[in-house]
Amino acid sequence: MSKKNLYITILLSTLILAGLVCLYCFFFRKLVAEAYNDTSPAWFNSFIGALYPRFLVEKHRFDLSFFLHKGDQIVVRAVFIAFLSGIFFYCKNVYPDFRRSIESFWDTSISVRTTSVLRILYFALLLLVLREIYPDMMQLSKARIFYRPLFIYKLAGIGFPSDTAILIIYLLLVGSATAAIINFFPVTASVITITCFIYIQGIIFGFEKTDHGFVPFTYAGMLFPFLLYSQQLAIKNHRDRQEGWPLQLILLLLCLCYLFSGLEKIFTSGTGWIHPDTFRSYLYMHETAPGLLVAKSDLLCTLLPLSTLLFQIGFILCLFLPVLRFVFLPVGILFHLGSWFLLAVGGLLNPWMLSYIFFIDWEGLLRRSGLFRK
Amino acid sequence: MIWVFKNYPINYPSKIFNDFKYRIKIKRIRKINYLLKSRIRKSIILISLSGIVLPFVLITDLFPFMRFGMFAEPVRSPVQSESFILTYTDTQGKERILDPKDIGIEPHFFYYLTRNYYYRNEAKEMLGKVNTIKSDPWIREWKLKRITIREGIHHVKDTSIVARRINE
Repeated sequence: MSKKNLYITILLSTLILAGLVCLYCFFFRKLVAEAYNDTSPAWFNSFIGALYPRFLVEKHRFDLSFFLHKGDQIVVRAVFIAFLSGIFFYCKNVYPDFRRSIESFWDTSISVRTTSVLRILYFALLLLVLREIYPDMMQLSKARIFYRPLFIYKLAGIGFPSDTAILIIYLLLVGSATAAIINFFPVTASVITITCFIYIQGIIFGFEKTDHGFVPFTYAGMLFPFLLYSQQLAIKNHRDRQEGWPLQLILLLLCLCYLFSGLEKIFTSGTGWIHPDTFRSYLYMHETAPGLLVAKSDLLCTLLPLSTLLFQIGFILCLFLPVLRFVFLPVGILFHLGSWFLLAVGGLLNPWMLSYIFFIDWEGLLRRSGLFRK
Repeated sequence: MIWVFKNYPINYPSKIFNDFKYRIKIKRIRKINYLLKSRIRKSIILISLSGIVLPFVLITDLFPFMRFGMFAEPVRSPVQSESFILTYTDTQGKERILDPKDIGIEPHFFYYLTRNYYYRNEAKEMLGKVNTIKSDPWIREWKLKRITIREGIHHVKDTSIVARRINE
């Protein structure tokens, strides 16, 4: 892109963004207040119902300023992301070195054996963390009266499955994951596994609680078929190395999960999040014995949230400086174990920790151990 | 062009021409394949990144893409430090706390469920549903109780009955 076109694009994007911000300030902000007072037009109510289903509950919990703040936050976050994208777009077009480093990030290649190790580990761990999913689903089927399908399920007309359907889906999940582990039609098997996995999560979330525990596994799973497809292509062409971009994308998404967790805290609470009272309140709400002990110390109630924030924001550095993985991965394990002890969130088999398998250099590890020679 | 003359004698001009055309065609197909592949790759990267950025911007989950807002809000008011319990009374008047697992729900899911029913003003409806699942004849009464931590004093809790259902 020529410099002139680049500046025109940036100018036009800025104007469009400014227009959208004005539209919010002079039109949508009023509608938020009207929705709170039940006087907004029907189309806006359905829009909110689809995008923000918790509004009906939360409007009884919080006052109007909470929702106006939320509306403002959407605009602030959109501007923030647009600003970052603008800088990225500008650097990519102006600095050839930057563009080349982006290209080399995606054009990287990995050994087909790395994918094999990841395939076996990922699907085996998935089966391990989902080992109780069948009894859990059968248990939930007792409470099916409480099931409220997610918006997308409602659109697709997906209700709570019958007991037979639960069994079929479970068998399909186990069968396809096993097939992926033993490398039997791995691409198709992985697609079936991930579809079942996501479907089950959607059903469970229909009980009005979203569980973020499986997010890294879900994101990795959605991209895994591409990694396996690329491996199959390489094997078909008798090559030892395959395209590595699906793995790079998985790593990027895992890092962004942490980054956005940290940014959420900064955008929502600002410095208030590291105030000892905030962390103390969470500890009192979850009432674990070690948590109640920690709650007594102002220093710990400041240090722990502060280090959490630094860890979450800094985790993305692992992607660009692989040596930092030796620091961030053990800290990550401590962080998740700490959340389990103090807040009773997660467990020993936390998918967030298990997803660190994608950060390990399996090729180097196997070569060093003598199991794999080029 | 050296390869052409290496492989074919000079008296086969049409074959050389056809081979040359074939090579160009292959090259073109490879180029299209590469462009298609890189376009597919770009689309997948773009969709994945949008999937993770959009929930952050819109402050909502867009299943299967999630927002990471758990523990992000500062605890400012008593409504953010509340819990709910369901109790039932037997024929002898003895009150017991319901274990959410008895009605098929995990305890951490149960809190959100009761909270949502309470704030939607559907607490009575919830008690009706619970009674349908746990329909023991000896249960005489159901109560939904809200427990709040008193502001500023974390270990002092207030309990209030927010809904009641008496079985005939």
